[in-house]
Amino acid sequence: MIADWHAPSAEPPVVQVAGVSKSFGERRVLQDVSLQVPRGRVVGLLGRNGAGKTTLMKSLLGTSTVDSGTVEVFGAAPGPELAHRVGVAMDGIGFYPAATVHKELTIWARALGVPASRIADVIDLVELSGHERQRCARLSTGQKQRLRLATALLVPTVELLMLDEPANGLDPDGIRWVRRFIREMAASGKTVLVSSHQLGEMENTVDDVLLLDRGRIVHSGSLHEFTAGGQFPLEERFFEVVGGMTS
Amino acid sequence: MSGLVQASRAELTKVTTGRALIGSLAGGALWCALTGYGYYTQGRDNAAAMASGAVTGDIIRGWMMLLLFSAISCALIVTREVSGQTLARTVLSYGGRGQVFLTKLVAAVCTSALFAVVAAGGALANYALAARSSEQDLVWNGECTKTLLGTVVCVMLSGMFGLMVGWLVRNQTLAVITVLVLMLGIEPAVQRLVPEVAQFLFTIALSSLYRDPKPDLLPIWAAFAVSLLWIVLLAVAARTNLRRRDIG
Repeated sequence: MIADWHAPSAEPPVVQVAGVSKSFGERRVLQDVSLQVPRGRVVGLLGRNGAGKTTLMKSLLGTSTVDSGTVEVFGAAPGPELAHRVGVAMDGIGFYPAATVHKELTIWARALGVPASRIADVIDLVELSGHERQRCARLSTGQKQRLRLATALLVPTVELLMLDEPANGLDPDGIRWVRRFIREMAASGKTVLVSSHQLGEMENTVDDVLLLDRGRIVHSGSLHEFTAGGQFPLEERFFEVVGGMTS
Repeated sequence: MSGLVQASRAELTKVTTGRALIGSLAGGALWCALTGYGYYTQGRDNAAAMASGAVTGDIIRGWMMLLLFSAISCALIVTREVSGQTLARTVLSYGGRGQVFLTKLVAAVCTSALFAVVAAGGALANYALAARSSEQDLVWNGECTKTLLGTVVCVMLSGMFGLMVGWLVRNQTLAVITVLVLMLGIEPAVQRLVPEVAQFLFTIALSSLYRDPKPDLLPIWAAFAVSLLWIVLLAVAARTNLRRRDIG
């Protein structure tokens, strides 16, 4: 199934996945997944824990190989050029525990050839000012999420943000901050692919939804269409499609 | 090329982050200094050994144990990334797995070179102090120079060996244990049991390079080739493993 819920656009999709399958031993994690992420949209990749969201994101980045099918990001298989076009903040990507916030960002800025002056900019952007000298190991969950986002934004020319569970473990203030942050990124012209199982939060954040259930895309379309213009809560629609509890 | 330079700068920043490197250098140097001093006190009453350069050779060989610390430090270049779950970001930032492999190799060369410099400096300082405090002449001859050069080469090669162990094992604790067990346990044990086979093992081949007086060792150039071959074989396995496995 290819998600083509938007009016035909002259611009090619940022991400295009066709017929991707992936297994870990006997367990099929992704089954014939096809999707598109159009430019300039905030797309929510929704599903239960273990649905295959993180594996799919890793496949888009090329850190996880696929058994069959094709993955294209900006019209090509994932390759070295992604470093300057894609910003990544994934729950499973950590830090050097001994490094301070500033040192951590220095490492990645050097790797990406980004001037050191950019570090202060991204620290400001994610509101981590005052924590530059704090060790990564001692940051709170929310501060770690902000640091992940800062790392993702080091390259100023990033066009696509891939965020895996960015609100995981955050308090209500943190969740609201992440939502605002994602919307600001979208407003600045970036495409955002965000995975989450926090449906209530996604309802306030995304333009489009991709529902992943047991490795299959079971629905793709705009949030507006999916919730009938907000008539039905996203959570209710989600359980209708993937099955399970509705209240 | 600029990508490799950028990535190498980042990699060296990682290596010098935290206390692992400095701790390993300091711990290794202390151990080797004590070993060198031990060799000196053992040999200082033997006038013939002092005059022949044998005691000096022993003092220098005392510093070969830095090869163990070099191997562990280089293994950590990889395993710290795996345990900190930063390898995926490294692959994305450096521009692919091949570039990561190459950059880690550059970092390991620099790290092991640092250990080699400390080994050479420490051995020379150890000799100078022993010579000053000795009533008899503590001779330095051509054989001692070769021993020093061999020690430096061993420390460098073991760094490469450790890096490849790190790539293959990936788990931090297991990698350190693997290096220790191989270098201090299994290979010396095989040497005691089947010395004619053991001479082809990595650590035992290194013994030839730092001119260990033990019997049943390969000639120097053969030992150098054998140790290089081990590193190349491990590198091929590590590179294949990195190319095929999912990351993070």
